[in-house]
Amino acid sequence: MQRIKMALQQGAWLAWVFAAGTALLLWQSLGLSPVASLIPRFVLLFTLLLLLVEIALELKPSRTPGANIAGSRSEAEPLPRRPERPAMAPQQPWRVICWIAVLPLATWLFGVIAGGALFCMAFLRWRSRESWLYSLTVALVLGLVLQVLFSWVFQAGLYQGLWTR
Amino acid sequence: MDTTVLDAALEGLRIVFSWPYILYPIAGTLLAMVFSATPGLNSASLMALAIPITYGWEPIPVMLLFGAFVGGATFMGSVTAILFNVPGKASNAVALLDGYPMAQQGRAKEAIGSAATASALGATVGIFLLIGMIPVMRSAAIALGPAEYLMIAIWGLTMLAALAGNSLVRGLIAAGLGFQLAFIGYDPRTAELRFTLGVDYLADGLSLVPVLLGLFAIAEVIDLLASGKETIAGTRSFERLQGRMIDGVRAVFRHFWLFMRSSVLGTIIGAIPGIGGSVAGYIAYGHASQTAADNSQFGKGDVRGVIAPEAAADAKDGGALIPTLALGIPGGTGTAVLLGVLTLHGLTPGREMLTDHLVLVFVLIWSLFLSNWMTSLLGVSFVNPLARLTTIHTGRLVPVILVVAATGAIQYRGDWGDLACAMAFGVLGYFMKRYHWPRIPLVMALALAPLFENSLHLTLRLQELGRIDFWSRPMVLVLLVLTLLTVLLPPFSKRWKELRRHKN
Repeated sequence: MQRIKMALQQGAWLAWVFAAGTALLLWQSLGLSPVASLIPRFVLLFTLLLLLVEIALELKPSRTPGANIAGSRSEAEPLPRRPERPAMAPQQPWRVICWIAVLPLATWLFGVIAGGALFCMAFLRWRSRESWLYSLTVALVLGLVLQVLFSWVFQAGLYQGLWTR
Repeated sequence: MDTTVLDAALEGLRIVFSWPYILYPIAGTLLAMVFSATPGLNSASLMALAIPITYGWEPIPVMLLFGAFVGGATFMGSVTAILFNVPGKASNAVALLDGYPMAQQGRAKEAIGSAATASALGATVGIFLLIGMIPVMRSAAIALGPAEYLMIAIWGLTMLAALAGNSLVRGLIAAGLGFQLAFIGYDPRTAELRFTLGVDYLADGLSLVPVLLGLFAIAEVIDLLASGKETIAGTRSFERLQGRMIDGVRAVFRHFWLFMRSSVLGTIIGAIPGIGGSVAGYIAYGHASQTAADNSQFGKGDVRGVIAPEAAADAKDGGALIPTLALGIPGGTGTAVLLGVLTLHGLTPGREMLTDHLVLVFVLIWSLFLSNWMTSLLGVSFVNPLARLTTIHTGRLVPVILVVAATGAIQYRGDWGDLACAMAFGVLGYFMKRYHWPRIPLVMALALAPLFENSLHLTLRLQELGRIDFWSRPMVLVLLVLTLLTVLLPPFSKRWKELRRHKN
């Protein structure tokens, strides 16, 4: 039990989520015709098998996180920073995700340009603690650039929100 | 070289650099650079927008403009990938593997310098290979069938081992997940809906652009905020940035043979119709990693990880013109639109194009060449302001990156679902990065899975009907040998070197 707890804290839950998703898709594939399900079933079974191996490996006490993986965190030492401005305090990922989730919501309601500008202003003012002037200016400039680029130069219509249609 | 081809090449060169024709590639390049720096937009969109504007034009300005669109549309996407982990499009995603870590180490100038040099020189190699292959284009392109495409897909998938790094199991799982995501939507043979879980948005399948933007751009933003990092480069001081642009330029020449191999690979892959440009970069990166004597720094800011995919990604532009001009078969999305443009202006790809309109072909080729060099030179000229962006406080930079990435995701199909998809993959990408799961194998499998599945089914069916004999096709055997060499050579080579070192 202790080992499982430790493994979960080190991110083993991700493999379990992948395994659950793969199992769900495998179950879904039962309703498909043989032609449509031939390759997917093979891939799903192979992936599920590998996931079980990975879960077993993660539960081993000597498991260390994977290293030298393309696309994973850079292990370079950061350069020493001058104390001109304090770094933003590290935050729980879920709080960050909640903040970022405001963007698709704003876009859904107000469209890309207005929603994007509103999100930008709100983020700069309340998350980054910038001044009202800076936040409004950047938001307006960003909205204007998007408007000029997409609507006038590219002649490409952008998504209109629920309230701005 | 045939005198006619040489005369046409010189005439095309003269036209490109004459007044007022020179204005067209300049304008086309600048527009293409803006487009390619914007996530979700690509040269195909730009060309499609330009079609109604250029409808009544003469063929020469059309060739100049569209050649510039093709040539100028790759590099800037790599710049945003290097600086902000925001790939302009699928083919730029590989540049961020080592380019972004270089930016995080304060070596953005070196990364951009190496990308610009590899880009310009890679495009040059691709174009000269294209010119050299003009006499043999037709017969080469029609030698490819489903069996060959299947082997190409398998060859591409063997690169996964290199992209997975030390954790092969996780790399293979990520690739499996990529395949699963690719299966979502309508089955191309039976038109059955697969794995949509009753969600209408998934009926058309997952689009690569939102997945890319989510897995890399949005995931990186979450990581920047969660870690409380002050700036991307780790310092607010521009003077404290390490690396110089000239170091990046020199790096390309220091790894000259890697650059050449990557360029040739890119040209060959670009010449294969329907593969798509994104694969060229992945395969070149995998090749670079597998053949390096010491690949421990790949994924952590190894300049070779920027040189190889950049050279391949730009060389593929020249390669993609081969089937387009010779057979009227587009090499990718951009060349598909280009084909439409050629047809609209009364130019039929094929024998006629390569004989009666050879000068126009060379106008297109030289415009592509000029455009590639212009984007690289402009990129190098602006390397300081570009590198300075990595020293901006994350609190100020992040909302802009997010809005641009979101615009790119939603603009691709005009569907809000793509934005939600990008956000979901952003969360997934963050946790994959945090717990050391590789993301590139997932993207590569997502890109290759349709080709693999369709080719496998076609090959099996044709084999069943006795129409082909898989094992007697020369190109299949060549590709099989290439695949086996790709898999077996690196470990054997390393073992051989170890044995020799031990002996000495």
